[in-house]
Amino acid sequence: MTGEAVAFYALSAMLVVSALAVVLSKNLFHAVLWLALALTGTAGIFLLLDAEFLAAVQLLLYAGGVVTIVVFAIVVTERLVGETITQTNRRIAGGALVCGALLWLLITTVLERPLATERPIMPDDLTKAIGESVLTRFVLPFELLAVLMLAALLGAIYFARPEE
Amino acid sequence: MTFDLGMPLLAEVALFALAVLVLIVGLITQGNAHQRIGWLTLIGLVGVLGLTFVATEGASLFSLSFVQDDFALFAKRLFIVATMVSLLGSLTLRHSTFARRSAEYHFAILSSLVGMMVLASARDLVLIFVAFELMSIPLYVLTGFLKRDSTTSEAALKFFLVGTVSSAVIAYGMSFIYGVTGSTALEAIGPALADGSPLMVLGMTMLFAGLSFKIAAFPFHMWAPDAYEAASTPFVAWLAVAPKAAGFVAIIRLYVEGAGSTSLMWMPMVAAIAGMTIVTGNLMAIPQSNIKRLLAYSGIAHIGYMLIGLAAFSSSGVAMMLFYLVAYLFGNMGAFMVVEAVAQSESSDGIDAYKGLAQRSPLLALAMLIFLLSLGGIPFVAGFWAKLYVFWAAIERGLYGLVFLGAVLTVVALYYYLLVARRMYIETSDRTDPIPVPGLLGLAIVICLIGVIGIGVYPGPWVDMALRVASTLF
Repeated sequence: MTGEAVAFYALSAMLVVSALAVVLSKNLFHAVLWLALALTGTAGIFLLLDAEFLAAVQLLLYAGGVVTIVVFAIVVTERLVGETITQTNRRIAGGALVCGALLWLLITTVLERPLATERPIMPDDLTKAIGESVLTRFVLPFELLAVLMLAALLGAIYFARPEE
Repeated sequence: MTFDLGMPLLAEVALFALAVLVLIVGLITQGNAHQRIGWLTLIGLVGVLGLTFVATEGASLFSLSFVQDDFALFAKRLFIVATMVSLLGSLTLRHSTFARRSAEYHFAILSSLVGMMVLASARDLVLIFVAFELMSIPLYVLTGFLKRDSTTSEAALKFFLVGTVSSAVIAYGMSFIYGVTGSTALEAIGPALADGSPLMVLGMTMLFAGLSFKIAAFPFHMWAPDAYEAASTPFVAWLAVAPKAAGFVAIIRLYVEGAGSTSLMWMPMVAAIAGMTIVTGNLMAIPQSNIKRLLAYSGIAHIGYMLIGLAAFSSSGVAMMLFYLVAYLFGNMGAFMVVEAVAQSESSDGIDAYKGLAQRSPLLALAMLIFLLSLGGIPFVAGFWAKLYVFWAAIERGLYGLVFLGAVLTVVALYYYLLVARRMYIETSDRTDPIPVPGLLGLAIVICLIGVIGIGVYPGPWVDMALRVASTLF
């Protein structure tokens, strides 16, 4: 087994365990910490696939930004509500059934016709190539995201501001 | 590239400029700006609608990922007309939230419309996804617009949760498609499906499930009645038509144009969803005592009828689905506008508020009756031809069972529509004073009436137009 394969299986095991812990831990705060680990593990997988830029973005935005915001949200709402928020897991059987069915579907689909194991030819400087495509072929969705941000921000402010 | 009024993306840019202008006007005006901003938006929309008529057909941008074909222009006009009818209605709203927060309301509507307009032209998975998000996120805000009402917040939250999950499912499905094809262009879908890749089929199936949320097809329809009941009625009239039409546009791009010669493989799935959607929508509508919930469930059933047209996967099937959308726009929006008129006077969305309406306001009752008959599919109003043509297209493909089911449930639909008519015409009310209809709301109702009766009496040009638009996709 090559070093890459060992790293892949180690990361995958970490991902599966942390992802399960996210949905199974009763304490919401613990779940968020597990989520941070799961997101970091995903960044590791990206790194293994030579996608350094994506790995960096994953760490910065998700493991960094999103998790921080969620922690803030938990702290603030707990103070407002005055009680510790727990995750309820009453529908765990149904959720497990759906997840199991989806997993079975995915595994059988991939086994039916395995995906190519060879890597496609990549540009030498992947980050530069991503930057170029974002400003050429994908410039419209890129600009549209700015409009989306504006609309989402306005919506969030609308709900957050106190009524005068 | 030289500037001309027909260039692609000009209408979208103009629309966004209008949205920003609305925001600025909202910031600088003191006090009640609802009328001023509403009129500004309406006049701006007339201009954008004009731009779609001078647009150069067949122009495209960004290596075919944004196309301005007949189909895109047809969809854009449909979205803009629906928005204008809705805004006519919302101009009459007297709620204090609209008086103070009119700029936010109109900005959200316009930015959602930008998303729909781009979606109509999008032929790239990334662009479709981003346009869908831009369309959806303002809708969640608008559903919860009357935020001091707790039922409104609950409905908006439900809509938001279901909507974001469906977006995640769409993104997950798209990732499989990209994994197999290595491209986000829609042209890559057909060859990969013809190759018979199982992962590709799984990706496209997931994508369809996600899109079914957006059009509120069975079994992903649960968000619709709650959202419709809680939000303001002129917005709901729009929510029931424009975003659904946008969802259908994306489905047609992906499963008809994108899948190309392999599109027939989706027939069993779409036919099954169509059948279940019709049955659920119509049966759930019967026990409703709130007119907005009734129209929500009947709207779900109408989505099912449109899916019958899609299930034919033929040029005429898609054309008749587009024709159905136009008929549904006028019939459904008209009915919601009458609901708004009655609700403004009676402060109730209950069906019992319609008791004796024919004596109190005969014209309003007649308008409602015509809209309901159109939705039910009675001859000489638009809905009749819509249902007939959709069935016809399905029969051409041998979908006899589906057409039979649809025809049987049309009778069920007529039953609950006529329950409302019975309250209006047969039952009497203690009150005899007429229901005051604000002028602009009356105008919106009249526009919808002209649409419903005009198409019903003289459907030829509309059918020809739908056939022409659909033929470019095959």
